[in-house]
Amino acid sequence: MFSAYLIHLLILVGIYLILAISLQLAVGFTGLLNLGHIAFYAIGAYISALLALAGWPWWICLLLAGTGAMLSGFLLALPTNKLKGDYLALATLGFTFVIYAITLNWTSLTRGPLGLPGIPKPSLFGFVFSDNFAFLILTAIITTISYFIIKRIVSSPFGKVLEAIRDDELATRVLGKNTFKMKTYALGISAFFAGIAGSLYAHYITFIDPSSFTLLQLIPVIAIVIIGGLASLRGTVIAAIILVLLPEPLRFIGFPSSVVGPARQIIYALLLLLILIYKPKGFYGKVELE
Amino acid sequence: MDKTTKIIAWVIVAVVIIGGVWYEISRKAEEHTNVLKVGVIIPLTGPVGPTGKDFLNGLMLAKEKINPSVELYIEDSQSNAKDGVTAAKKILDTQDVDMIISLQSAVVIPLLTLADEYNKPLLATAISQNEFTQKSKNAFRFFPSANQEAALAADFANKRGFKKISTITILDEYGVSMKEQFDKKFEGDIVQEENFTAADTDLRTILTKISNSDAIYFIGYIPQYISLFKQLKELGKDNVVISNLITISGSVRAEIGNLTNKIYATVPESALMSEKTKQFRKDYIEKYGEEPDWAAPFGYDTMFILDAVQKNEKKPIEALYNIKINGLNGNISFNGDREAFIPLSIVEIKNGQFVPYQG
Amino acid sequence: MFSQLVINSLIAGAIYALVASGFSLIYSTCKFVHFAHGATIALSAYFLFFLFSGLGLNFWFSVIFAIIFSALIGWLMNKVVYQKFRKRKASNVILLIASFALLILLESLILMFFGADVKTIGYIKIAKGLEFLGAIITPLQIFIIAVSFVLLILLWFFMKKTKIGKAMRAVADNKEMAEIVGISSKKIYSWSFIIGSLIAGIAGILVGLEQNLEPMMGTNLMIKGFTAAIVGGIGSVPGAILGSFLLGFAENFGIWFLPSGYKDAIAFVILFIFLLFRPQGILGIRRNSK
Repeated sequence: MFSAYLIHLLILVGIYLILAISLQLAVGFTGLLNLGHIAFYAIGAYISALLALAGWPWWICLLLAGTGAMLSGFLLALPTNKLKGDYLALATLGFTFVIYAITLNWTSLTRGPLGLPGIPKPSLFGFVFSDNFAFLILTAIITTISYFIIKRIVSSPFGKVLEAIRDDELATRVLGKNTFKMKTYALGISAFFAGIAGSLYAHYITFIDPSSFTLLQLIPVIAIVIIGGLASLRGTVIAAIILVLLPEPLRFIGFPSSVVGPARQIIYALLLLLILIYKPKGFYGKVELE
Repeated sequence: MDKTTKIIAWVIVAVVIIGGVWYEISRKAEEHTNVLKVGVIIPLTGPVGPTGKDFLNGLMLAKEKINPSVELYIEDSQSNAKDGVTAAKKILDTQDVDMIISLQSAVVIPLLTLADEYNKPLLATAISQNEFTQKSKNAFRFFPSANQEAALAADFANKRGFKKISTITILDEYGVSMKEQFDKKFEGDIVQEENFTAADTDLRTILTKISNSDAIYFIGYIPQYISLFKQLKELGKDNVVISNLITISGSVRAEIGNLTNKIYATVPESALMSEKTKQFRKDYIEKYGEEPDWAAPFGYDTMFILDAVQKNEKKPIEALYNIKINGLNGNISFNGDREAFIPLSIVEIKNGQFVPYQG
Repeated sequence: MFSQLVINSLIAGAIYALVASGFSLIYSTCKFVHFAHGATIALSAYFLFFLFSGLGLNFWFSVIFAIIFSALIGWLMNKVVYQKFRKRKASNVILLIASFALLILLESLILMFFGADVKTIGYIKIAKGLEFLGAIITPLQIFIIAVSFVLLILLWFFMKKTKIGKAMRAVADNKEMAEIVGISSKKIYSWSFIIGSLIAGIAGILVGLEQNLEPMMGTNLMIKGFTAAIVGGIGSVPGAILGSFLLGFAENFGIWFLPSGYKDAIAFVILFIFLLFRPQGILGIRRNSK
């Protein structure tokens, strides 16, 4: 029976992994400090959920979730393009708040704080992924595909240009590259996968509401990205596995339940702080946060 | 980092995870008798945390009293759906529970999908949405439904001859259901509809916007009630307020103090003073050193329900239809629609105390 | 009705001003976003609660202690956490993330030790407010507005006339020049944290008395205070104050016309718009790149 809980945890690992490697693409490889990643996650989740509840086939919901998130990524890239460093971080953070406000107040579409319950489980060619184990297989496949796509991207010439932008945008522009277009693509692709993760989340938990997508949800993701190490996909994978699994034994080792919730956040925040102070490259990172 | 440190880090992680797993599995090695195993997913932290703790206290007080063959597996939903579902999954996956109980609409609704998936009955408190029990044959409600509670409030407003009412309700499933039902039954006009979210405590501008109504219909959680009465007083507004049982919560009444407003609330029997409830309060104070709030009697009665289910030889989902208990909330049983009818009445709050409303 | 809205706006603006001015002071000298300022506010309120309602100490004594405590916390945050980053010449982006992690860490600790329920500091008796030009305002609210005005005048005086204040402005304008003329930027950083956090302490106490305590109060106030600082001009203390009152008015008059559920959304949208189109705010000076 316990293995069933492990399956549940592994599904979460998969979802967080997709979130983290997509954020890694933006932050670690392109140097775009996007604190609004959760907004893309939310957009993907809501698009997928709304379409699925309206009866659309699951795989279309998944792809449209990613696409919708990607479009919002492009949208966000436009005005924030000239922003740097902490201004970019703050503007993208502001985007999270704006999306939160929209999901909360556009009640005719999103049902506001009531949330969307009863999101159907994924089904493909008539097979319904209602069993947790089946969902894990599905998640594993999607996660693996996402990982390989992103890996291809960062190893490609396009990926090299992104890293060049991260290291010195001005120089890259001088060399004739349209950095604006590149950054927009990077943010869009990053957002696409966040949207995919959102769709998986929505169909797994079967219920989403605006409070599922707040600043607090960003902490584990940012922690994974930084602790794993910037610009290292391998680091991200390892960090995702460790960070998602690590607080779980807290539930088992007699801590009162009222302690477990905040304790998880404390672990993440503390680890993040310690890594930033003592090992800013993270465990496998190639660069430091700039 | 160097190899040694890496290895050490890995070993620590592995030990922690394996240790936790082993501990949990060894915890499971108990005799599996005729014990009723129940998963309890309630908020122990977050905005609804105090209510969850109150409920749990009531549940445990009853457990002590009657010592039933019931085993509880308690998890904190943290007042939100995501954590509630994760906690519930943990219980459903690692313990072979026979049924689950839960509290708070926002969590109960997604839990119902889980309950269906694992095919376990879900006994829920503090869930107002009318359609809840119709959604699944696993959905049992031990709480007044919105159309019962809000209807009584509307009925009261009608009888009092109120023609214009402003509603100030919390923007979540609970507030929305209550307002909808109140609107349906109220014969006058709702001249204003205002909302707030769980994080809001500044109701001043909302209260400033309210004018021209005979009464305010208010639904929220404890922090908002405290703000409401405080700010009504500060703004010198003397509107009539109609609400429900959270109003008589101890911490809220302390704020009401000697407000001159007329405040009316719909409350269950467990909130009124009777021999039974007096004894209950005494026992509660003796065990916990503080007064029980509105949720404790529901927790208390729930344990009696669980006991009855355990003693009944049918499976829990069938047993639930057949049990009858006499609890703090009156005579409880579930009808064919899985609703337990909780008798409600109106009380008026005067000088920080509440009395049954006459007439 | 109109005058009541004005009063409500002034009260909200005064509270935001207390939050934003301390935050802006720190930003102007240290040049990074100190999110954990919100934690200082929350800790101050909870500390007062602990001393007064928990231990039963004398009220004014507890207040003074809480204010000193906040200044101390701010100073500690700088010394234990931020200074380490500065030694490495870390960018202000890293400091932003570290500060964010610090905020979550401290708030989770508050949650763990004090619990999630709303706490009240029962010092002020609730009574009907006083009538003033057709609106109602309580003595505490008058006090809050008065304190914020006095404090801000004191702050202005401090910055313009005292030695430390002038040194702070020098460091804020041009750190290198200031060091050349012999000002120790390290000491100035310490001082800005002490003073900024002291103001935060006062804010925490007043908010705690007026609105009660809950663990997330720091984050919520910080978002508003931060919005106000951005609107008015981050790095400009008078700007922060201007922005605070503008925000207070925008929120309260805004929900006169819009459904009241939109109150926070108003702040978020304003924040986002300013970050995108006028990040220097109304009074601020545009920083170049980093």
